[in-house]
Amino acid sequence: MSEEETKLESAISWILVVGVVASVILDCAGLALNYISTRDLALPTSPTWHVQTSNFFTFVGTALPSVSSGPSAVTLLTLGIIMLMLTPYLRVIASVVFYGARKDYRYLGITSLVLIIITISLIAL
Amino acid sequence: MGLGGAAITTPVLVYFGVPIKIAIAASMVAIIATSSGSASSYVKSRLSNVRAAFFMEIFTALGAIVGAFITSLIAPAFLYFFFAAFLLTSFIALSSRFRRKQRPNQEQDGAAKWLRLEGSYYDKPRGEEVSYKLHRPLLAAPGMFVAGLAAGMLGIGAGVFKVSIHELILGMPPKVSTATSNFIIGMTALAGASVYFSSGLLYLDLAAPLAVGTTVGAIIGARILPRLRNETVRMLFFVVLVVIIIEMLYKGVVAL
Repeated sequence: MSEEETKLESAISWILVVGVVASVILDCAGLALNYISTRDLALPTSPTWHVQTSNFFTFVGTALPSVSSGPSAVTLLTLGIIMLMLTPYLRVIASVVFYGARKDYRYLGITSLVLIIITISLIAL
Repeated sequence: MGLGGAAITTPVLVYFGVPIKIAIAASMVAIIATSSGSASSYVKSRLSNVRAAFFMEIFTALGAIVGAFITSLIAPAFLYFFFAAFLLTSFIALSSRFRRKQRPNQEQDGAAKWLRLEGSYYDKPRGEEVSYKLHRPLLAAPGMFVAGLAAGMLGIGAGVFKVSIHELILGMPPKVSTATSNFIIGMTALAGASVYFSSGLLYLDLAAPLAVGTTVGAIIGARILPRLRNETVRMLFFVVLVVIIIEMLYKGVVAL
């Protein structure tokens, strides 16, 4: 791995860590709010909050408007999961940009292919 | 450790009465946290090979999508046996490499040269820079597809399987292979998780606490790994795997 790649990776990895930490904080807040409202800390074995949307982006689309109506446990957990799922996606996008900027067409192609596969899985499946 | 933890959490969730498909979907999301959360410490010690990771990610992502589709369609009973079979395969692969001491590979074939698959890292316990070259990437590709398939089907990172391919086919040093596997897992898990989204198998209040727990575990693990010797890493891996296999076999028998 070249020095530049290492530098890029350090930068990306910190973004990822921030994303994961933010996601964990949102999840914890959501769980705390859930506990306050239900007084039940136990992990439900028949979960009630069921994600049922056709794809990730519509999920984001339906989750964001509910933010303005004030924080609820479901909203916080939803945002936490969205944040979490965006971290690896962000990493792929950053790598495509990096290899594109370096005119490394071989790896621009490879990272773009990965981006396309994952994007298709997020949109079409 | 290159072992995301989902191989442990899924059997535990099933034990507590969570349907296996829902446990798999939740684990798939949670291991994204494992992979992304441990990224910084691996990269800082320059352990993961980014080029090799992206080349292999093409195949694991495709495998994960196909695997997650299979899981959302088949009868749950099959999944216990796939789980046990997968872990057993991993166990065999691991024990065969356990006794052998690996020297860093220095040969490259045409495909590996074209992909510039090589690197170096600083080995702390030995106190020296170790450089290595990889080979046979085209042979590793179908193997990585199968690893992705297993990951998508079972909601796990399939780290043990990936690590075996990295070392036995590509010729990666153990620490690099563990770190690279961790790098790949997040992207593969995302591809699989998005299938579970549309299948309606994802439950937020199960995925969220699971993500919190695995993140904490992963961060601790990634801090410890660079300080350990390769032999110690392998030994720990081995012990964890034995425990999981015994656990899964027990679950399989109970489910019959």
